[in-house]
Amino acid sequence: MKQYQTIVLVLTVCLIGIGTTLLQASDFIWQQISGNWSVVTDNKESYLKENRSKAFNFDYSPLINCNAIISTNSAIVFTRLTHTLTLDAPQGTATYLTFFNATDYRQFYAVQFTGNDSCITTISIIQSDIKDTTLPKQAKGNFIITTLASSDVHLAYGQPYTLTITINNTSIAVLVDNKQVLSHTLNEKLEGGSIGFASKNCIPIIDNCKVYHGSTIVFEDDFSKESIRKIILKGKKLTPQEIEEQKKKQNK
Amino acid sequence: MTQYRIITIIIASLIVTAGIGCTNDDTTELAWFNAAGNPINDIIWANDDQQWTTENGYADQTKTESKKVNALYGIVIASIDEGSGFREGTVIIKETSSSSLSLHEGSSEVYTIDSVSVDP
Repeated sequence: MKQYQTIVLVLTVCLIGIGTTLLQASDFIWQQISGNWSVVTDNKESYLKENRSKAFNFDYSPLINCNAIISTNSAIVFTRLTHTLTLDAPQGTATYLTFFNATDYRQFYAVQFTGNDSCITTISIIQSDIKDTTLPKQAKGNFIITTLASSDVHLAYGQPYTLTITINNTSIAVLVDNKQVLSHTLNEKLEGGSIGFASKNCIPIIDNCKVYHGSTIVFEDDFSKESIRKIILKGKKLTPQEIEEQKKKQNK
Repeated sequence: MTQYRIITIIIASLIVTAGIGCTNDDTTELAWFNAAGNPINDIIWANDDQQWTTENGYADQTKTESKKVNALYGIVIASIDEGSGFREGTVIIKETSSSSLSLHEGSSEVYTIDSVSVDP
Protein backbone atom coordinates (compact mmCIF):
# COMPACT_ATOMS: atom_id res chain seq x y z
CA MET A 1 0.00 0.00 0.00
CA LYS A 2 2.83 2.33 0.97
CA GLN A 3 4.54 1.58 -2.35
CA TYR A 4 1.46 2.74 -4.26
CA GLN A 5 1.25 5.89 -2.13
CA THR A 6 4.90 6.62 -2.89
CA ILE A 7 4.39 6.06 -6.63
CA VAL A 8 1.32 8.32 -6.66
CA LEU A 9 3.25 10.97 -4.73
CA VAL A 10 6.20 10.81 -7.14
CA LEU A 11 3.89 10.98 -10.16
CA THR A 12 2.02 13.96 -8.67
CA VAL A 13 5.30 15.82 -8.03
CA CYS A 14 6.45 15.05 -11.60
CA LEU A 15 3.16 16.29 -13.10
CA ILE A 16 3.32 19.48 -11.03
CA GLY A 17 6.92 19.97 -12.20
CA ILE A 18 6.04 19.45 -15.86
CA GLY A 19 3.01 21.72 -15.51
CA THR A 20 5.08 24.47 -13.90
CA THR A 21 7.73 24.18 -16.61
CA LEU A 22 5.12 24.42 -19.36
CA LEU A 23 3.47 27.37 -17.61
CA GLN A 24 6.83 29.14 -17.30
CA ALA A 25 7.65 28.36 -20.93
CA SER A 26 4.38 29.90 -22.06
CA ASP A 27 5.29 33.12 -20.19
CA PHE A 28 8.03 33.81 -22.73
CA ILE A 29 6.16 34.93 -25.77
CA TRP A 30 8.98 36.87 -27.44
CA GLN A 31 12.37 35.76 -28.78
CA GLN A 32 15.08 38.39 -29.09
CA ILE A 33 16.80 38.28 -32.47
CA SER A 34 19.17 41.15 -31.81
CA GLY A 35 19.68 44.20 -29.61
CA ASN A 36 18.95 44.58 -25.94
CA TRP A 37 15.21 44.43 -25.34
CA SER A 38 13.74 44.38 -21.87
CA VAL A 39 10.47 44.76 -20.05
CA VAL A 40 10.89 47.84 -17.87
CA THR A 41 8.78 48.36 -14.78
CA ASP A 42 8.86 51.64 -12.92
CA ASN A 43 6.59 52.95 -10.17
CA LYS A 44 3.78 53.89 -12.49
CA GLU A 45 3.81 51.51 -15.43
CA SER A 46 5.62 48.81 -17.36
CA TYR A 47 6.54 48.69 -21.01
CA LEU A 48 8.84 47.12 -23.60
CA LYS A 49 12.04 48.99 -24.43
CA GLU A 50 15.06 48.48 -26.66
CA ASN A 51 18.04 49.88 -24.82
CA ARG A 52 21.00 49.75 -27.23
CA SER A 53 19.88 51.81 -30.25
CA LYS A 54 23.00 50.94 -32.26
CA ALA A 55 22.51 47.89 -34.47
CA PHE A 56 25.15 45.73 -36.15
CA ASN A 57 25.15 44.77 -39.81
CA PHE A 58 25.42 40.97 -39.59
CA ASP A 59 23.46 41.00 -42.87
CA TYR A 60 21.77 37.58 -42.63
CA SER A 61 18.35 39.24 -42.53
CA PRO A 62 16.82 42.71 -42.27
CA LEU A 63 15.77 41.85 -38.72
CA ILE A 64 19.23 40.96 -37.38
CA ASN A 65 20.50 44.18 -38.98
CA CYS A 66 18.12 46.05 -36.67
CA ASN A 67 17.47 45.37 -33.00
CA ALA A 68 14.53 42.97 -33.23
CA ILE A 69 12.23 40.72 -31.23
CA ILE A 70 9.75 38.26 -32.70
CA SER A 71 6.74 36.48 -31.23
CA THR A 72 7.23 32.80 -30.44
CA ASN A 73 3.71 32.27 -31.82
CA SER A 74 4.38 31.77 -35.51
CA ALA A 75 0.78 31.44 -36.68
CA ILE A 76 -0.82 34.78 -35.90
CA VAL A 77 -3.60 35.63 -38.36
CA PHE A 78 -5.16 38.98 -37.62
CA THR A 79 -7.49 41.67 -38.83
CA ARG A 80 -6.26 44.38 -36.42
CA LEU A 81 -2.97 44.86 -34.60
CA THR A 82 -2.52 47.78 -32.25
CA HIS A 83 0.07 49.03 -29.75
CA THR A 84 1.39 52.28 -28.37
CA LEU A 85 4.76 53.48 -29.61
CA THR A 86 7.16 56.17 -28.49
CA LEU A 87 10.39 56.70 -30.40
CA ASP A 88 13.19 58.54 -28.64
CA ALA A 89 16.87 59.45 -28.81
CA PRO A 90 17.33 59.45 -32.59
CA GLN A 91 20.88 59.20 -33.90
CA GLY A 92 21.18 59.93 -37.60
CA THR A 93 18.53 58.06 -39.58
CA ALA A 94 16.18 56.43 -37.09
CA THR A 95 14.25 53.37 -38.27
CA TYR A 96 11.45 51.46 -36.57
CA LEU A 97 9.39 48.48 -37.80
CA THR A 98 6.29 46.71 -36.58
CA PHE A 99 6.48 43.55 -38.67
CA PHE A 100 3.89 40.84 -39.21
CA ASN A 101 3.18 37.71 -41.26
CA ALA A 102 6.84 36.76 -40.70
CA THR A 103 7.51 33.23 -41.91
CA ASP A 104 11.25 33.76 -41.81
CA TYR A 105 13.57 36.53 -40.61
CA ARG A 106 13.80 37.56 -44.26
CA GLN A 107 10.14 37.11 -45.26
CA PHE A 108 7.65 39.48 -43.70
CA TYR A 109 5.57 42.60 -44.13
CA ALA A 110 6.10 45.66 -41.97
CA VAL A 111 5.01 49.17 -41.22
CA GLN A 112 8.18 51.23 -41.14
CA PHE A 113 8.80 54.61 -39.53
CA THR A 114 11.87 56.58 -40.58
CA GLY A 115 13.06 59.87 -39.22
CA ASN A 116 15.89 62.34 -39.09
CA ASP A 117 17.36 64.04 -36.01
CA SER A 118 14.33 66.27 -35.46
CA CYS A 119 11.20 64.23 -36.28
CA ILE A 120 9.68 61.10 -37.84
CA THR A 121 9.26 61.98 -41.49
CA THR A 122 7.96 58.86 -43.30
CA ILE A 123 5.66 55.90 -42.71
CA SER A 124 5.84 53.06 -45.23
CA ILE A 125 4.44 49.60 -45.80
CA ILE A 126 7.32 47.37 -46.82
CA GLN A 127 7.80 43.76 -47.82
CA SER A 128 10.96 41.76 -47.25
CA ASP A 129 11.65 38.58 -49.20
CA ILE A 130 14.50 36.19 -49.99
CA LYS A 131 16.44 37.41 -53.02
CA ASP A 132 17.87 34.08 -54.24
CA THR A 133 16.26 30.95 -52.80
CA THR A 134 19.05 28.74 -54.14
CA LEU A 135 21.63 30.31 -51.82
CA PRO A 136 22.29 28.83 -48.38
CA LYS A 137 20.84 30.46 -45.26
CA GLN A 138 24.22 31.88 -44.24
CA ALA A 139 24.52 33.92 -47.47
CA LYS A 140 24.79 37.56 -46.46
CA GLY A 141 22.58 40.23 -48.02
CA ASN A 142 20.29 37.62 -49.56
CA PHE A 143 17.08 39.57 -49.05
CA ILE A 144 15.22 42.28 -50.89
CA ILE A 145 13.05 44.99 -49.39
CA THR A 146 10.26 46.54 -51.45
CA THR A 147 8.41 49.67 -50.42
CA LEU A 148 4.74 49.03 -51.24
CA ALA A 149 3.35 52.37 -50.10
CA SER A 150 4.74 55.43 -48.38
CA SER A 151 3.47 58.66 -46.85
CA ASP A 152 5.20 61.76 -45.51
CA VAL A 153 4.36 62.53 -41.89
CA HIS A 154 5.55 64.87 -39.17
CA LEU A 155 5.53 62.99 -35.88
CA ALA A 156 7.47 64.01 -32.79
CA TYR A 157 10.04 61.98 -30.90
CA GLY A 158 9.29 61.36 -27.25
CA GLN A 159 5.54 61.40 -27.79
CA PRO A 160 3.39 58.27 -27.52
CA TYR A 161 1.29 57.36 -30.54
CA THR A 162 -1.12 54.49 -31.06
CA LEU A 163 -0.21 52.50 -34.15
CA THR A 164 -2.94 50.35 -35.68
CA ILE A 165 -2.60 48.02 -38.64
CA THR A 166 -5.78 46.61 -40.14
CA ILE A 167 -6.06 43.85 -42.70
CA ASN A 168 -9.23 43.13 -44.62
CA ASN A 169 -8.65 40.36 -47.16
CA THR A 170 -5.80 41.88 -49.18
CA SER A 171 -6.31 45.48 -48.07
CA ILE A 172 -3.97 46.82 -45.46
CA ALA A 173 -4.38 50.18 -43.69
CA VAL A 174 -2.14 51.99 -41.23
CA LEU A 175 -3.60 54.32 -38.62
CA VAL A 176 -1.80 56.63 -36.21
CA ASP A 177 -3.94 57.74 -33.27
CA ASN A 178 -6.97 56.33 -35.14
CA LYS A 179 -6.35 58.48 -38.22
CA GLN A 180 -5.53 56.59 -41.43
CA VAL A 181 -2.17 57.62 -42.87
CA LEU A 182 -1.58 54.87 -45.40
CA SER A 183 -3.30 52.03 -47.25
CA HIS A 184 -2.33 49.45 -49.83
CA THR A 185 -3.75 46.42 -51.60
CA LEU A 186 -1.48 43.38 -51.39
CA ASN A 187 -1.02 40.85 -54.17
CA GLU A 188 -1.69 37.96 -51.82
CA LYS A 189 -3.96 37.09 -48.94
CA LEU A 190 -1.89 36.84 -45.76
CA GLU A 191 -1.73 33.35 -44.30
CA GLY A 192 -0.34 34.43 -40.93
CA GLY A 193 3.03 34.28 -39.22
CA SER A 194 4.94 35.86 -36.37
CA ILE A 195 4.75 39.50 -35.39
CA GLY A 196 7.48 41.64 -33.86
CA PHE A 197 9.30 44.91 -33.50
CA ALA A 198 12.62 46.12 -34.86
CA SER A 199 14.54 49.38 -34.58
CA LYS A 200 17.88 51.02 -35.12
CA ASN A 201 19.37 54.38 -34.24
CA CYS A 202 16.55 55.13 -31.81
CA ILE A 203 15.03 53.88 -28.56
CA PRO A 204 11.48 52.50 -28.99
CA ILE A 205 9.06 52.15 -26.10
CA ILE A 206 6.11 49.85 -26.82
CA ASP A 207 3.07 49.02 -24.72
CA ASN A 208 -0.40 47.48 -24.82
CA CYS A 209 0.09 45.22 -27.81
CA LYS A 210 -3.25 43.67 -28.82
CA VAL A 211 -3.91 41.59 -31.90
CA TYR A 212 -7.46 40.80 -32.97
CA HIS A 213 -9.01 38.43 -35.44
CA GLY A 214 -12.47 39.94 -35.80
CA SER A 215 -13.49 40.71 -32.24
CA THR A 216 -11.38 37.93 -30.73
CA ILE A 217 -8.01 38.78 -29.17
CA VAL A 218 -5.55 36.26 -30.61
CA PHE A 219 -2.39 37.71 -29.03
CA GLU A 220 -1.71 40.34 -26.39
CA ASP A 221 1.00 41.59 -24.10
CA ASP A 222 0.77 44.50 -21.69
CA PHE A 223 4.46 43.98 -20.84
CA SER A 224 3.70 43.71 -17.13
CA LYS A 225 6.16 40.83 -16.74
CA GLU A 226 9.38 39.60 -18.34
CA SER A 227 8.44 37.79 -21.53
CA ILE A 228 11.60 37.75 -23.70
CA ARG A 229 13.93 34.83 -24.35
CA LYS A 230 17.52 35.73 -25.24
CA ILE A 231 20.56 33.86 -26.45
CA ILE A 232 23.43 33.93 -23.98
CA LEU A 233 26.94 32.76 -24.79
CA LYS A 234 29.41 32.18 -21.99
CA GLY A 235 33.12 32.76 -22.35
CA LYS A 236 36.32 32.88 -20.34
CA LYS A 237 39.95 33.79 -20.77
CA LEU A 238 42.26 30.97 -21.74
CA THR A 239 45.50 30.56 -19.78
CA PRO A 240 48.76 30.20 -21.78
CA GLN A 241 48.73 26.46 -20.98
CA GLU A 242 45.17 26.11 -22.28
CA ILE A 243 46.12 28.02 -25.47
CA GLU A 244 48.99 25.56 -26.06
CA GLU A 245 46.61 22.61 -25.51
CA GLN A 246 44.13 24.06 -28.00
CA LYS A 247 46.93 24.57 -30.55
CA LYS A 248 47.96 20.92 -30.16
CA LYS A 249 44.34 19.79 -30.60
CA GLN A 250 43.95 21.86 -33.78
CA ASN A 251 47.24 20.57 -35.23
CA LYS A 252 46.18 16.93 -34.75
CA MET B 1 84.85 61.31 -40.00
CA THR B 2 84.68 57.56 -39.24
CA GLN B 3 83.71 58.38 -35.66
CA TYR B 4 80.75 60.46 -36.88
CA ARG B 5 79.66 57.60 -39.14
CA ILE B 6 79.79 55.12 -36.26
CA ILE B 7 77.85 57.48 -33.95
CA THR B 8 75.24 58.06 -36.70
CA ILE B 9 74.84 54.29 -37.26
CA ILE B 10 74.50 53.68 -33.51
CA ILE B 11 71.86 56.42 -33.16
CA ALA B 12 69.95 55.13 -36.20
CA SER B 13 70.04 51.60 -34.80
CA LEU B 14 68.74 52.82 -31.44
CA ILE B 15 65.87 54.69 -33.13
CA VAL B 16 64.91 51.63 -35.20
CA THR B 17 65.10 49.35 -32.16
CA ALA B 18 63.04 51.77 -30.05
CA GLY B 19 60.51 52.03 -32.87
CA ILE B 20 60.09 48.26 -33.12
CA GLY B 21 59.81 48.06 -29.35
CA CYS B 22 57.11 50.72 -29.25
CA THR B 23 55.10 49.01 -32.00
CA ASN B 24 55.19 45.70 -30.20
CA ASP B 25 54.14 47.27 -26.90
CA ASP B 26 51.16 49.06 -28.46
CA THR B 27 49.67 46.16 -30.37
CA THR B 28 46.88 44.42 -28.54
CA GLU B 29 45.59 41.25 -30.12
CA LEU B 30 42.50 39.20 -29.48
CA ALA B 31 41.34 35.79 -30.70
CA TRP B 32 38.48 33.46 -29.86
CA PHE B 33 38.25 29.72 -29.42
CA ASN B 34 34.86 28.18 -30.12
CA ALA B 35 34.03 25.42 -27.65
CA ALA B 36 30.31 26.10 -27.66
CA GLY B 37 29.28 23.00 -29.56
CA ASN B 38 27.70 25.02 -32.38
CA PRO B 39 29.28 27.04 -35.18
CA ILE B 40 29.67 30.74 -34.41
CA ASN B 41 29.42 32.86 -37.55
CA ASP B 42 30.42 36.34 -36.47
CA ILE B 43 32.01 37.87 -33.38
CA ILE B 44 31.97 41.63 -32.88
CA TRP B 45 34.24 43.31 -30.36
CA ALA B 46 33.57 46.70 -28.75
CA ASN B 47 30.97 48.29 -31.02
CA ASP B 48 32.59 47.18 -34.29
CA ASP B 49 36.18 47.93 -33.23
CA GLN B 50 36.99 44.50 -34.65
CA GLN B 51 34.99 41.71 -36.28
CA TRP B 52 35.68 38.04 -36.91
CA THR B 53 33.52 36.51 -39.58
CA THR B 54 33.62 33.46 -41.81
CA GLU B 55 31.16 32.18 -44.39
CA ASN B 56 30.29 28.84 -42.82
CA GLY B 57 30.98 29.86 -39.25
CA TYR B 58 33.83 29.00 -36.91
CA ALA B 59 33.17 25.33 -36.22
CA ASP B 60 33.23 23.87 -32.74
CA GLN B 61 36.80 23.38 -31.44
CA THR B 62 38.35 25.89 -33.84
CA LYS B 63 40.15 29.15 -33.14
CA THR B 64 39.63 32.40 -34.96
CA GLU B 65 42.54 34.35 -36.38
CA SER B 66 44.24 36.67 -33.90
CA LYS B 67 43.42 40.29 -34.79
CA LYS B 68 44.68 43.66 -33.69
CA VAL B 69 42.17 45.62 -31.61
CA ASN B 70 42.18 49.30 -30.75
CA ALA B 71 39.58 49.33 -27.99
CA LEU B 72 40.79 47.86 -24.69
CA TYR B 73 37.34 47.73 -23.14
CA GLY B 74 34.04 46.65 -24.62
CA ILE B 75 31.31 44.10 -24.92
CA VAL B 76 31.29 41.02 -27.13
CA ILE B 77 28.40 39.90 -29.29
CA ALA B 78 28.20 36.96 -31.65
CA SER B 79 25.80 35.59 -34.24
CA ILE B 80 24.70 31.98 -34.41
CA ASP B 81 22.14 30.05 -36.43
CA GLU B 82 19.44 28.83 -34.09
CA GLY B 83 17.58 26.88 -36.76
CA SER B 84 14.90 29.42 -37.54
CA GLY B 85 17.50 32.01 -38.50
CA PHE B 86 20.59 33.87 -37.36
CA ARG B 87 20.35 35.55 -33.99
CA GLU B 88 22.69 37.71 -32.02
CA GLY B 89 23.81 36.71 -28.55
CA THR B 90 25.74 38.52 -25.86
CA VAL B 91 28.86 36.83 -24.57
CA ILE B 92 29.00 36.77 -20.77
CA ILE B 93 32.61 36.64 -19.60
CA LYS B 94 33.28 34.42 -16.59
CA GLU B 95 36.01 36.64 -15.11
CA THR B 96 33.78 39.72 -15.00
CA SER B 97 30.38 37.98 -14.75
CA SER B 98 29.19 40.49 -17.33
CA SER B 99 29.32 41.14 -21.05
CA SER B 100 32.15 43.63 -20.49
CA LEU B 101 35.76 42.71 -20.99
CA SER B 102 39.02 44.59 -20.35
CA LEU B 103 42.19 43.80 -22.24
CA HIS B 104 45.76 44.60 -21.20
CA GLU B 105 47.45 46.97 -23.63
CA GLY B 106 50.08 45.20 -25.69
CA SER B 107 48.83 41.74 -24.78
CA SER B 108 47.75 38.93 -27.06
CA GLU B 109 44.77 37.24 -25.47
CA VAL B 110 42.57 34.30 -26.36
CA TYR B 111 39.08 33.88 -24.96
CA THR B 112 36.94 30.82 -25.33
CA ILE B 113 33.21 30.76 -25.95
CA ASP B 114 32.16 27.57 -24.25
CA SER B 115 28.40 27.52 -24.16
CA VAL B 116 25.29 28.77 -25.90
CA SER B 117 22.01 28.80 -24.06
CA VAL B 118 18.60 30.41 -24.24
CA ASP B 119 17.89 32.56 -21.21
CA PRO B 120 15.78 32.10 -19.20
